Formats: sequence, C-alpha cells, structure tokens
Amino acid sequence: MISEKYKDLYLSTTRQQLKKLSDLLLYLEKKPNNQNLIENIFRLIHSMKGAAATMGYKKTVKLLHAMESLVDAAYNGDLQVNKKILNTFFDTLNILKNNFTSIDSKNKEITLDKYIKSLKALFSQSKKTKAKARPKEKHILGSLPSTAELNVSTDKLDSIGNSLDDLLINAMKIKNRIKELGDVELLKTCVDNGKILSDLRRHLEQIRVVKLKDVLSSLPYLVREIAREEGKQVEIIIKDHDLSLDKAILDEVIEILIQLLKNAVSHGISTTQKKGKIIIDFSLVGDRMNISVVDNGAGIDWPAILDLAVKNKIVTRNKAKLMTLEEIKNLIFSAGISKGKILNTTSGRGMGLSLVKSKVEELDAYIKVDSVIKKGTKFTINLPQPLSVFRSIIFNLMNHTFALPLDHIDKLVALEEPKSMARAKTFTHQRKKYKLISLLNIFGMEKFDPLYKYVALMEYQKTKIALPVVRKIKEDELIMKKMPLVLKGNEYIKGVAISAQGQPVLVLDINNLI
Amino acid sequence: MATKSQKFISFYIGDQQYALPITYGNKFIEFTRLTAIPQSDKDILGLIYQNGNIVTIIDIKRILKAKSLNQNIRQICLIFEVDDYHYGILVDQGGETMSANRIFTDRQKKIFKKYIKTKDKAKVYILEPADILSQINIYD
Repeated sequence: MISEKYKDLYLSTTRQQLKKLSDLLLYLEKKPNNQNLIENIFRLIHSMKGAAATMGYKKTVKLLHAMESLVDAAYNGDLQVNKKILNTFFDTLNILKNNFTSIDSKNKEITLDKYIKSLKALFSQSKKTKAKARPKEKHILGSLPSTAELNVSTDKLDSIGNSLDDLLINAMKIKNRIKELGDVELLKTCVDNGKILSDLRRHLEQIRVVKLKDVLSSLPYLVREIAREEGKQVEIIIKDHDLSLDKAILDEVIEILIQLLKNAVSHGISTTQKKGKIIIDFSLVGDRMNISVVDNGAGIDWPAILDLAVKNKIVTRNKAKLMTLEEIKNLIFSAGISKGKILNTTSGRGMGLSLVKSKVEELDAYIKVDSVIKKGTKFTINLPQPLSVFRSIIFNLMNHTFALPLDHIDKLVALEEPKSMARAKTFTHQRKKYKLISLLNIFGMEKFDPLYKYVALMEYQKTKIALPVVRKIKEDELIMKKMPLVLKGNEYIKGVAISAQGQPVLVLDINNLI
Repeated sequence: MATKSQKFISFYIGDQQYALPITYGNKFIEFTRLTAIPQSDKDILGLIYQNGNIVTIIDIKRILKAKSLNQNIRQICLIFEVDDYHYGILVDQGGETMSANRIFTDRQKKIFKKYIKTKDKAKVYILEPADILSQINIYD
C-alpha cells in the first residue's frame, strides 16, 4: 500500500468527490437522460477509482468499477436511467460514504461484496435488455476535459492571513509617520501599498468565503434520503439569495442545519401529509445573518414540553406555573428534553436540539423557535458576520479602548461644552429624540461620572440611539481578529480588532447594546 | 530503566524559579501597553497583539501570590497556546530550557504540586497550562 502520508490528500479529495457525486446524482434525478451529466458522473467515478487504486483500497476499486460499468452502460444507451437505477446509485453513494468514514476513522474498508454483486447483476441485466439502440459512441474517457483543484487547509490560510495582518499594520504605521513628516510623494506610494495589501487581504478572504449554494446543495439529498426511509413526501426549498459565508463558519452552520432538517423530516412532518415542505431562508439583517428553517409539520405542543420538563425534573412544578412562553420555548434546547422521546405526544422535535444550541453558541450566535400546532415550526438562527478590515471610531472610556464601526454611525455630534449624562435617558438632536446608551452602566462602572465631549448618533433596526463619548476620539482602519475566549461571555463586545499601532481594540456590538 | 525526559521553559518571579512544559509557540515577549477587558476576572490583565494573534495576559503573580521584583513599565510575558488560543503569563525574567527525567510531587500544596529539581537541589515548580487556566474564570 502506498505511503500513509498520502492518506490525508486522499481523504480530502474523496470527501469533495463524494459531495460532487451527490450533487450530480441529484441533478440526474431531475434530468435522467442528460448525457452530459452521465458523462460527468462517469468521469468522477473513474477518478475516484484511480485514487482508491493508488491507495490500495481494493474493495473500493471493485465497487467503483461496478458502478462505473453501470454508468457507462447508461451513457451508451444500454441502460435506461429509471427510478430503480437512481435508487441504486444513491444507495451506492451511501455505501461509499460509510466506507469513507471507516477508512478515515478505522483505516480499513468495510465489506462491499454484497453491493458489488448487486451492481454487477444490474449490469448483466442491462446487457440482456438493451434499453434503446443508440449509436455507439467512443468511450467516455477519451472525450473528457480535465480540471484540477487545490486543497489548502484553513490553518495555512490563517497563517498567511496573520502575516498579512502584521504587514498591513506596519504599512499603516509607516503611512501615519510619513503623514506627520509631510512627504507627499512617499505618502502616495504608501497609500498605494496600503491598497495593494488591503486587496491581498480581501483576496485571501475570498478564498475562505464560499457561496452558500455551493455547500448547501447536499441538503436536498439528505432530506430526500430521510424522507424516503420514512415513507414521507418532503420538498425542500433553499433561498440562499446568492449569499456567501466563511467556509469554517459555514461548515458549522451545515451541521446545525442537518440536525434541524433531520428533526423536521422525522418528527415535524407526518406520513399522512401529502405536501411536506421545508424552507431554509438566509438573509442579512444589519451586520448579522439570519437563517430560518421553516416546516409545515405538526408543530410543537408547548404544554406537553412543560409537562415533560417537570417529569424529568428540569423545572419544579411550582416554577413551571410561573414560566413565560419564551422560557418554555427555551426548554426545548435543554438536554433533558431534547434527548427525551417526546415524539408522538408532543409532535416531538426532540433529538439533538441541545447539541444545536451548543453549536450555535460556539458561533456566538443565538437561536429561537416559534411553533403553532398543525401549522408548523420555525427555527431562526442569528449569526454575527465576521468583519475583516473596517473603518471605525476609536475612543477611550476609563481605562478601556472601544471601537464602533463607522458604518453604524449616522453622525458624530461635538457638544458645545463637556457634559455629564449620568441621569439622562435620552439625547435630543435637531428635534429628534435618541435613546441614550451608557457604556458605564453596561460595564458596571456606574460610580464614574465623566464629562462627555461627543455623542455618536445611530439608527439600528429602526431604533434611534445615542452613545456618549468622553474624549480622544479618532477614526482608523481596524483589522478584526479571532475572538479570545475571555470575551466570549461578553455579549456587548463583538470581537477584538487591531489598530494601526498594533493595539487590540474592543469592538462594540450595537445589536446587543440596544 | 531509561525514562523519557520532559522539557520545560523556565522563568523567574521574584527569586523563585518556575517551569512551563514546552509546547509549540512558547516565547518570551516584552510589552508596554495592554488592552483592559471590562468585567473580566481580576487575574486577567488584558489583551496584547503578537504575530497575528490576540494574547490574553494572565496575572500569574496574583494567582501564585508571588512577590514581583519587576517595577518597569516594560512587562515580560511567556506565551503558550491551548486549543488554538494564545495566553501569556506575566514573569519577571525569562530563564533557560530545562530537561527533567523525574517529576516530584509536593503534597503540601493544593495547586501546582509538581516540581523538578535543579542540580543544586532547588525546587522548580511546574505550571501546567491547563492548571493555570483552571485557576481563572475565563468567561467572567
């Protein structure tokens, strides 16, 4: 067997190929006579077979060879792609996925003889009963174009990104110094360099960012398989609105969506429903992404959830009597509830919602659920969008340095004279009233009563807000960095960015400040 | 019987020498300014930026209740990495790397019980990164 050092490359390539095969089979289901699709499937299987042979996975090679023969027969018109053949292809895909998992985790193939045999039997059958007499064409491989894809780990991209950030910070420092020195010619070169570096940073981000539709295309297959196993009719509609997301975040989002979809198909939509429907909708609201998963299933029976919570001793009977609907809704994400078998009594939406909640929290996002009996259920995930390089105002408050992204601010008002705002609830500017936000109160520094010189006016989700700023206000370009654990529990801080001076600055989360 | 030796990076707080198990990314750096975090644990001094990473600075002197000799504005910290997050502990002076075949346990201590011995039999207590993090409330 070839050296183990190639195993990682094999795994990453095969993972992508399996996903691609799943996508192509889904297209084939819609257009079973599309020669181009069959050709592409053949080419993909052939390539997977070659990789497996290189690694010495003999059983995998035999299975892929048997599938390749069937696809070849379909291409040459010896076999008609009907529902039975499609199901065989999907079943083989499942077996390939299981086999892949086994190679990945246990370093060995699973037993594939049974599946190879059934593929071969289908192939022999096709030889006997030629579907249509089509003109014999040359073998597929001869006419196929070749493409090459590179796999780069996000670790390597992060490392390049970090070096680029350092370079960008140095460039900002030099630019500021040259500005002070007043050398116009050199300043122009510096500005140009800064632009090139910013472009490089953006290009790097674009490598990390993937179109939602490129990754979400595997979800219809998942829904189709679960629905098929449970004998249900479920249609899935994905509204991605051509949005994109960082691949690392999207991978986590996919896991959350898979869990929600499994729940919706298994427990939300019933077998008697003729038109089960799930809609996944992505949208941008302010600087956050909203993801909703809506089904038209049986809905969640909230009183039954509450009873179960009491039964499982998650809440006491007395506490249960005082709980609001929102508090009851949150119970569904408790481990004791989500692991419970509540399926039939409560229209159950059970397994794994506690896992969903913990994954959502890992992303600094939040999730809520709305449900109406016999109408359906809606899960909404609100996800922060990672900012990269952005302009911001930076100001100090006591011994803290905060940043407020410029795209949030409508106007920065300089007060005629320094003013205390300890008791004020609102701020009026040009006859408009703004709700005053006190960072001192929010961060537990109420005992201080500084005199403010500026007020930043903002309008966020139809709320007019004013944030008083003491002094030392400046505008600068910041680079967002990975949030340290120490800030993860602080809902008012969106993350940490780096200033041109290489100093960490705490970026305020306007959404939560309101 | 041959035993596998463990490697440590040593440092001083006051006149006491300590050791941190060597892991990827260990280094001593100097800094003058750090960014304070509102509502954080008192043992967390703030954040600095170093080579593309945000480093959370921990006041290990406070945790150890050790007396510091460093009165300079320039502070020294030893950086270590846990689960892709970077931390720095404030030290007075960096030391050399050490190897030890034998680890001892001081049963009278509640935390940081393990130590190694120098050639002149002095005790050098080991600060395991996991033990350091267990002493602070990271999500305060």
